[in-house]
Amino acid sequence: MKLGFTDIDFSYHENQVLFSVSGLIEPGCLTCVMGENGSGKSTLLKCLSGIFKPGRGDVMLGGSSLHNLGLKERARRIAYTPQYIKTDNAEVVYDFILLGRKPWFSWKEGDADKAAVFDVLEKLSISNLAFRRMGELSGGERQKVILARTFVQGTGVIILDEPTNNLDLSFQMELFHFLLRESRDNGKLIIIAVHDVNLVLRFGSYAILLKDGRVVSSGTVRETVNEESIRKTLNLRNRIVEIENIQVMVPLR
Amino acid sequence: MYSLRVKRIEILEKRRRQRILMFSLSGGLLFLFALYSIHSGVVSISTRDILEAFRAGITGKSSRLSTGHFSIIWDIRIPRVIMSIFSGAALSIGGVGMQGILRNPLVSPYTLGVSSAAAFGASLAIVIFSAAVIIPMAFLFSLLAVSFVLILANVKGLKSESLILAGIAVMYAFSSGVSLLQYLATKDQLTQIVFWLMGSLSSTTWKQVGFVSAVFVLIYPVLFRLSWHLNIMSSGTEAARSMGTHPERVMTLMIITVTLMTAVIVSFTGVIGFVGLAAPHIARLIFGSEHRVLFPSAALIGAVILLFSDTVARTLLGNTEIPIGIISSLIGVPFLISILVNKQRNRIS
Repeated sequence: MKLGFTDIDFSYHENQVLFSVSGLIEPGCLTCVMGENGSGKSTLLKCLSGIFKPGRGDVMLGGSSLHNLGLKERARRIAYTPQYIKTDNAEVVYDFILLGRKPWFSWKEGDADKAAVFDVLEKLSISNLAFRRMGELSGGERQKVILARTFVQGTGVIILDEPTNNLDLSFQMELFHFLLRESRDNGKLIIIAVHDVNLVLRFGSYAILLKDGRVVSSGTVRETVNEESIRKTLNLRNRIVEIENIQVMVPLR
Repeated sequence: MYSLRVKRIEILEKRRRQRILMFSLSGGLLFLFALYSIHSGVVSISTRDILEAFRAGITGKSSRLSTGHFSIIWDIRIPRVIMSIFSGAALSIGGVGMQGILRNPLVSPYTLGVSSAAAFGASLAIVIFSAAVIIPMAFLFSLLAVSFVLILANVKGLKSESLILAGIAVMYAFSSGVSLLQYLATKDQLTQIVFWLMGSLSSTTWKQVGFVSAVFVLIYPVLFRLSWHLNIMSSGTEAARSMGTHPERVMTLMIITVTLMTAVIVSFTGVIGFVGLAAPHIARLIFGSEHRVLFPSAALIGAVILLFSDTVARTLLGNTEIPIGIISSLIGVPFLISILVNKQRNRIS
């Protein structure tokens, strides 16, 4: 199902943060939303996941408006993980991930839900963490567990707000390889907010560049992300070079 | 790979069995403890007599016990013991629910002003009307207080902080009302008010037991069903919404049900402090923070605390009764402090 949004405006009280943002995202796409802090990335993601209702404009998922869907229906189609998640140190990893299955059962989890939890643990190679407590995990493990809960929800659309924050480089690479597989091979529609231009150049298929709540440019990464658009979006003089067929952005003074 | 999966599902099964075993054991202990409590008092009663009174009481047939003896067991001790179990359990699950939606460890079922409003209603009944209307007045005012809090908080959206603040504001307002009534009261009325404020199960009737147990039995499944949503809400409201949980709906439903339940209990027993705050914390320390386990375990722990407190309250000084609120706080405080110390220790390691 495609996710389309047209002329989205959003304001926090008097303060408008999104101005007429539009786009159309296809399944199988790893879409990266880029921009400075305060450019409206998080707000856009919240509008696209239905957490916020845009003041103007509409978000359409496969032909129906997001706000005509019930909360549960929406949770079966879109999974969203905010930038910061509170976790309870005493909670067991398995129990934490199982909560992601809640949209699919009402009184008690079924065998399919248990299986889904173990599947996603295997997929992320963290089966060994299943019965550990959240408080015992390292930052990277914790992030993987949160990601596991997002994916266990079994939705076609997955929206992640800066999932790579505070994580070491090898974990970032691992995470993006995973997201790439999920989008390209499993046809998931994944939208992430991300600061690292190099990760976008290397893994992204579609990009939305935001500045002060407006779209600077959007389209395939190949067409959109270049020296000129990065300079405009991030206020940064830069060069993009190629090393072993990988594009790399280098900030200049 | 496959056998690993089987092993993991076995771990889950084992955990489930352990929990069931733990709950049945605690339930059994609670029952034994209840028997002991019925047995002890100024007049000591044998287990055989208890069973005999129980049989006679339920079937309505005459028993070999003397009328006075039967009456002590059937009309005084048994209802009182059942009342302490159900009110302890109810106040504790109320505490779990309120702490769950307000995400604040200092919250109890009384936080939104239920108890002080009930105290005001009861005092008003004592001073202006008659002691006969204490229960309906206490109930009426506690409902009034919470509707007021809900309206007040709704103006600014249902946020944890605004709810707690609104509750505290209401609590202060009614407390000053109670003080005013105490100031205006005659000596006799003052004694009555003070006694009511400290809480007591001494005048428990079967009718009240019926009310409280019915409320508990009706509301427990509602709260238990909300436990999934409470678990989800511990990740924050936005994450909750993305998993299909409506935080505002859960909050409203929780506040209404817990308040109703608390109002019924407080109107009958007066303000029994601390169990609704302490039992959830004790349960959390022992069984973890998963609400599906937390509700039953807090209920059991709260029941034990109040049963124990009431037994001590009526036996410690022989003929004189100590108000149960004093005992339950005395027991609850060291428990809570030990938990805080433990928590601190956990944080360091």
